[in-house]
Amino acid sequence: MAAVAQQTSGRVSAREVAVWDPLVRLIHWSLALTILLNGTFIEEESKTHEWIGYIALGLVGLRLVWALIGPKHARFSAFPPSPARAVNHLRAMLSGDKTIHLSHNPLGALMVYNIWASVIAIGITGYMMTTITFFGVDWVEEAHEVIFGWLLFSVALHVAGVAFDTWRSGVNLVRAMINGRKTIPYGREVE
Amino acid sequence: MKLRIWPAKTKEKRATVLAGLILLQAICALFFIGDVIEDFREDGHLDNPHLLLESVAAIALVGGVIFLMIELRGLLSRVSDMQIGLDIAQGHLADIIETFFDEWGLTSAERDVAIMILKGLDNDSIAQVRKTAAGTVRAQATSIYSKSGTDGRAQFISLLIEEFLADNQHLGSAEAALNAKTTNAASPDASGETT
Amino acid sequence: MRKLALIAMMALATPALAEDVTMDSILGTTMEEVQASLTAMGYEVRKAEMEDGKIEVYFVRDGQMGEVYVNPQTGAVTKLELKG
Repeated sequence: MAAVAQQTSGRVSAREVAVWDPLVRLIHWSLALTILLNGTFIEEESKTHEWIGYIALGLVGLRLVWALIGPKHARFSAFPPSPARAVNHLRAMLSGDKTIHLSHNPLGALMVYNIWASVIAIGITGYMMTTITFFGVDWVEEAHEVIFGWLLFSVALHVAGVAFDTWRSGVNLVRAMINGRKTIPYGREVE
Repeated sequence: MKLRIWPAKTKEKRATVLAGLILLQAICALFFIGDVIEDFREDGHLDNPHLLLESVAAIALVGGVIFLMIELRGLLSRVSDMQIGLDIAQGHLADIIETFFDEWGLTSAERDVAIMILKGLDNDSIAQVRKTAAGTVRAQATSIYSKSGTDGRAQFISLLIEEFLADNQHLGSAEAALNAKTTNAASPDASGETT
Repeated sequence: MRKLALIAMMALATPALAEDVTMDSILGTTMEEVQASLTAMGYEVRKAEMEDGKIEVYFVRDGQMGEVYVNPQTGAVTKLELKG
């Protein structure tokens, strides 16, 4: 019955909502790739490492501009940075609230701002290391490494969070970041 | 009535291409900006024609990125509008079907079977999907035809098609969209999504 | 004995002549020695560490940045990178 219902009226089926536009998705996976490359395969003291770092910075910059002038779900207004909201969201989840957020949920929002800020900090310290003023200066190199370690930890947390939220909400979040559409289970409220 | 599905797909493909171009141009801009910064750090001034060209290229590319972003946003909003129109049309169709089923007093099992008949499945396929006996489906189908005052499958299907076609002139217009929104406890799509 | 030779070399070097570090330079067998040699040559030493069993030193002079890798056994330069 479910298979047929899916294609008939909107009443008894899950519904698909277009959430992540092509640019958001492209930037997301490209950024993930730069982090993967610079964190593993690419040699640290190479020109390639530097260039991938600058590309990562560029990707975040692009995303920030898009968050200012892009479509609804991509904008800052759709996922404001608010620890208060995140706490509320946590409470709501624990009390069984099943509302689904179309854009990043408040916890996810904190994570994306964290990741963007980390990438920016890593990129800036990286650039600093190429300037005469900060060349060979210990704290810059340390900061670069420490923040990158933090980034890797954040990425692991991010993946776990995505898996958890997929399970909890019934919405396939990974697929949504690939084809842009969230399939909302029938009867759920969205926000 | 032509439910114009594929223009939406085409627009989606264009949107993806636009996104790719934006990314590419941004990276090219990055390259030129990086070059300008590096040369500036070495020379200390920007009057060298080579640098001038690179600066112009960088500015042009950044301008291109912003322009394409605005284009992409516009395209996405048109796709979204089309999708809303489509949802409303589909919701409208769903409502028409529901109204008929209510009028005829079909049971919920009969409604399922009726939908599948409309979709062109034969009784055996319906029995498979519903995991019941073919005989049960035949009995349900008979009841459906009787309640709807039709002779059989073909007439039943054409009865509903006629209704959809009759309503056709309204389905495409903005009026219908507004009517559909306000008249009905509409489909979850129209009411569920808040800003 | 080598250390004495090095100290002697450094004592003889006149500050007015800034010597350049090259692939043929012998700089020392410990981090301190290498740093001292470079400083005597007029370089500002920014950082020294061990990397892949070699002594690695970051230095700056006259707007030029560089890294040198020294073999701690021989005191000789194994890799030299000059930037900007």
